[in-house]
Parts: sequence; C-alpha cells; structure tokens
Amino acid sequence: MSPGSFWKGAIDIVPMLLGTAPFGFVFGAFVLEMEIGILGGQGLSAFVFAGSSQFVGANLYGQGASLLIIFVATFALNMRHALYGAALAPKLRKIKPREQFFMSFFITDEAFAIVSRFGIIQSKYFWGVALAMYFNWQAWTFIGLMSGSYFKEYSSLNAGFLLVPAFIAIIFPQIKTKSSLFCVVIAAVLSLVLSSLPYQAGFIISAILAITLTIFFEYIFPVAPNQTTGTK
Amino acid sequence: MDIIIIILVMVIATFPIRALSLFAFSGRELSPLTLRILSLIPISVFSAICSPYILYPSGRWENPLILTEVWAALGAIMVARYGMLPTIFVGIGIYVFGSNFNL
Repeated sequence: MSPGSFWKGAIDIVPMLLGTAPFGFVFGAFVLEMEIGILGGQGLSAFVFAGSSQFVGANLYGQGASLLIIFVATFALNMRHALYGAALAPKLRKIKPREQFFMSFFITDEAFAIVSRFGIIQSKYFWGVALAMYFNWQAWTFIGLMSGSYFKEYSSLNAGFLLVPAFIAIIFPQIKTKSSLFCVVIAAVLSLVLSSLPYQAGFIISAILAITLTIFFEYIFPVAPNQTTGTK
Repeated sequence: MDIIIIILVMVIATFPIRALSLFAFSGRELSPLTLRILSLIPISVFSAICSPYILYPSGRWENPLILTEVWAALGAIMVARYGMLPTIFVGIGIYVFGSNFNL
C-alpha cells in the first residue's frame, strides 16, 4: 500500500520533476516558435497536460494542419494512457468513482511511474504526486514561454532522454524474475524495430506484444505466484 | 484557427482515454491473469519508451559504443538498485557531461 500522506507523494515525485523541467521549458520555447502565443501555450499545458501530445499538437497547429489531423495524432499518441488507466484501476479501488474521474486527468507517464509501484494507492498520496507534477509542468511551461526566445537553441536538445534515467530507476527494481526480464527485453527490442511508426505507435504496440509474449513465456515456464508482482 | 478550439479538440482526444480506461477496470473483481497482465504494463511501456531514446536517439542506426545515451543508461542501470535519485544523477550527469564534451 502507498503511504497516506500528500506531502510524501509530492516528495516522491521530485526526481521526476527534475527530469520534466527541461521538457516543460522547451515546450514553452517551442510554442513561441509555432506562434501559438503565451496564453495558448499555457492553456495547452493547463487543460491538455500531456507532454508529448502537446508538442505534436502545437507542431501540427504551427503547420496549419486540420482539426481532424490534430485530433487523430493526439489520440494516437495518448493511447498508452489507456494502459495506465487499466493498470491503475485495481490499485485505486478504495477511492470513490467521482474522485477517480478527476484523478484520471492527472495520469501522466511520470505520475504513473511513481504510483504504480504500490498495490493499493491512497488518495492523498496520489494527489501529492499528481499536483506536484501538474504545477511543476505549469511553472516550467511558463518559464519557457517567458524566456524561450532567448534560449531557442535548447529546443534542439534530446529532452526526451532526460526522463530515461528516472524510468530506469522504476524498471530495474521490478525485474525480479526471468519472465519480467523477458518482458523488458522484448518491449525494448520491439520498440526499436517499430520506432519508425508515426505518432509513437511503436510504444504501445511493442508493450502489448511484450505483455502477450510474457504471458506465453510464463505459461511455458511457470513461476511461483508470489514472484510475479513487483509492486509493494 | 482559434487556439481555444485546438485546446478543446486535444482535451477531447486525451482525457476520455485516461478516464474510460480507468473506469472500465474499476470496481470489478479481476482474474489473476488480468491482474498479471496489468502488472506487466509499467515495465513493458517504460522499456518501450526508453530503448529508442538510448539506442536510436538520432533516428538512424549508429554504433552504440559511441552514443552518450548508451553510456548514460548503463551508468544509470548500474546504480538503479540504490534508488531513484542516484540513478537520475548518474544518468543525467553522464549524459550532460558526454554531450557537452562531445565524448
């Protein structure tokens, strides 16, 4: 079970905030390049709150793409959140549906990485994680919007890599069995093979295939039930 | 096109995915197989997200030994057992150092 404290959640996500700070900053700078404006850029962060989708949406807007294209691209890019929601549902079962509805808006890669470590997630802990992540993203978007024109060269940084060490810290403690190692390797290899697919579709396809193959792997090489979960 | 409409369209494209998937599995007794599938989601998705950033950062194949991202990831993996902060500091530290000094 997760801790029950709001502040513990806010503290636990601090390492992730360090990783997302440059990402938010670059987004702010990028928005200015796409001529979306300060209010529009901050509005995207405030109401959409989906990092990579925001980049793609802003880019398509800047290129004059149609609403349908923007919708389809954003939808496809965000499909992995369907997996996150499904994975979190059993862990949030002690929380009322109305609160879960509001929580779902705050499910991001980073928040999911922190809260999914626990078998049961307590409400206050979730909100600590979620709101710290949300306001960090707003703050860095704002800083990027205010100062981005002076630091345009930063938009060529591989900002995506800055989150990789944080995700490694999540993945590796959960590799406790041969089957979980199998799942990690298969997902990584398939993602490389499928990386040329548009709108990061390779992420979700490789994850689904890796899970399917891992279930088959466990069927062929059974493991003890208590060894299969990496959650606390 | 008005940016408010774009924001609205993007909200419609992102929020229902999060909410509906949560509600679809909420309040139900799930079978052990379903629970096992759901428990594999974090490691599979994060592995899928990470590997192109590590081994395919420029969008074309390169010798992994010359990629700063690979050395940064290896450093992060080596200290991952000590917690998130050391992993992030080592990983980002190697990456920033390697990128700035063109190693």
